Amino acid sequence: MIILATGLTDGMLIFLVASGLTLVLGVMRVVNFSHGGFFMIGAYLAYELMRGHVQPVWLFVLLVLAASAATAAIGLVSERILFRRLYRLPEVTSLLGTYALLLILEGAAQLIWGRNPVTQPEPSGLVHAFSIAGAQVPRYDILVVAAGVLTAVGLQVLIKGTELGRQLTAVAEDRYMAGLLGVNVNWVFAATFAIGIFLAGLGGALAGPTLSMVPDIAVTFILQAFAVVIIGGFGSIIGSLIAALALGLLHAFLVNKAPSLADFSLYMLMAAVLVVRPQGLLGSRQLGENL
Amino acid sequence: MTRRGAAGLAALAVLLIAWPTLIGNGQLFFWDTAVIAVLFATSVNLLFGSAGIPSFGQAAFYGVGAYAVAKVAAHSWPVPAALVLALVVGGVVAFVTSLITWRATGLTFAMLTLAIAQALYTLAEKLSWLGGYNGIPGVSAPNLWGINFSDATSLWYLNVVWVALGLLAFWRIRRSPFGHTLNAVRQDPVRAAFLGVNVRAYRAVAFTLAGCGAGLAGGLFAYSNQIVSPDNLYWTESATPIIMLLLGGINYFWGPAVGALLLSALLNYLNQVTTSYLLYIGILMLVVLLVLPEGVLSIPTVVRDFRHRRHRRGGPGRRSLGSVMGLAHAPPDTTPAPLPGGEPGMAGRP
Repeated sequence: MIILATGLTDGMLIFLVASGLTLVLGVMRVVNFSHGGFFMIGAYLAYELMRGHVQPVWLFVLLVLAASAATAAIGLVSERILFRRLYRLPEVTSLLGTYALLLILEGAAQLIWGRNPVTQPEPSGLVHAFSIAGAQVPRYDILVVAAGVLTAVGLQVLIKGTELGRQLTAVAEDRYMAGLLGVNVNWVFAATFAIGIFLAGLGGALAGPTLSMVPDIAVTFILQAFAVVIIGGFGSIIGSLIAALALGLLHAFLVNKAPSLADFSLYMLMAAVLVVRPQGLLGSRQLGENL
Repeated sequence: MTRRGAAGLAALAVLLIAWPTLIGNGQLFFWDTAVIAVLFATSVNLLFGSAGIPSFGQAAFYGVGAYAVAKVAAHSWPVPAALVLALVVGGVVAFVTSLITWRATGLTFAMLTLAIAQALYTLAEKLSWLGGYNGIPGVSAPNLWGINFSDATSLWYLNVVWVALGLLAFWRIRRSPFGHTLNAVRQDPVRAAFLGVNVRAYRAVAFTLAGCGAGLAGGLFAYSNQIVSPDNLYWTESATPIIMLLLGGINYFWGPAVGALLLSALLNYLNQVTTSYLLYIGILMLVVLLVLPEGVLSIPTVVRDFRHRRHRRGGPGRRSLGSVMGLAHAPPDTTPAPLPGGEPGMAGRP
């Protein structure tokens, strides 16, 4: 039971980060290394808004959303200034550009908040644990899992049910053709990026109470998120949800049963999936095919 | 080789020999790491510049080379044998990696190499045989033919000689028929395959050779740094040579070397004046990427092109009437670029 609970929570946090990453990758074809930087910025902004104090739950949620929105605004500015210049470059070059942005964000965080870890306590009312089936589960986990489920459902509704979602799909399929058919590709890119970075900020703000914040978390989380995106299949949101939950559960299971193997759960899962399906769980064979 | 090239190399050799007396022993450690970075970056450029393989896990081979030397140095292996071992180990691990990633290309390949390197990092952190989190301290080169390598100057010459050998090898590889085939594979893998080139095999060989170079560089680093730790396998270690390539220019043989020296000097300087050098490195990368996408070595070409164009237009200051009056807008950025995904195997060049 405790395995299930921690696994689910960890998986949902990874999913929040990975969903934005895979959205941006699928629509814009940019591998966004700076995503982890925005995750970190989201965590720090939430910390800054709450000043590291305990907040009631409703205010906590509100401030988390505010921090995510602020992160998205920073993301939007960087999209207008930087990313639009990267679209035309080959994938690997644009990857270096986003890596540079990651360094800038991390460096800026080091200057603003310093290298010493800071901590954000959980909201009051969610501090303690409750017990299901004899296992102690932190109440905060409920909030994280709820946010993950809401995000997954919200993204599905957005993509399948709205005009923006249809345009998003069209641009992801063939941006040239979509542009000819009257879709404002520039605007779709900006919207996609804002949503993706909002999710990164949300993941960071929610992860805040579960970790001690140092600027380096920008790097540690991005690797997991990348692995999840690869395992789930490029651009597939459901794929990354499955992969993130599988990763969270496997990790929690190994921590309990075979702690020395726990740190390898990521690579084990990755190897197992990619040997059978090189394109990922739900990926299609388009990006980087054959030769 | 041209007479000018030969003269340049001779001057360089004299400079390298005189270097310890010119700058003094205190700074020599920094220059050791800089020349090692030159070799590492040049080996990575065989992938990015020649073969068009985007690897983000070269730290794996650098790191295993360093660990190999650290392990056998404890048993007092002679220096050349230890370094050859580092080279071989780097190559073997790279070959195995290329087998694992055999079917992957482009982004998948980049992310897989990154993951493999991170897996090795985690492994090195866990294994007590490799010193775990703290790594292996006290690596030193045993005396060889009466040369004592605990002396900074001798160590410098050791590094220079091996780096020079490594660069020579990569120079030969680049000029060989194999190197030219790699160029073809980079420029158009589909056409190369039609011409009968076994694209995947060529990539695997290039990857293995680059791994050898990285392993050798890592081995040298172990002697100079005297301690090997999991940090040498960490993925930022893979990113550093790529920044160097970007800085120097991947289209030139000497690009990575120039980039390595520039970045090393810059990092050394920034470490003294600021606590957060990442910010400045990031800004520098962006500027280079957007303004000089082919690196600092392309400055002469860029300047020549610029003057040439100005000349053709009939001198400076002549613009079209529309642009002066603000009538002729440059088309906005809405023109959709062809999908990067449709150009398989492209690396780092437009």
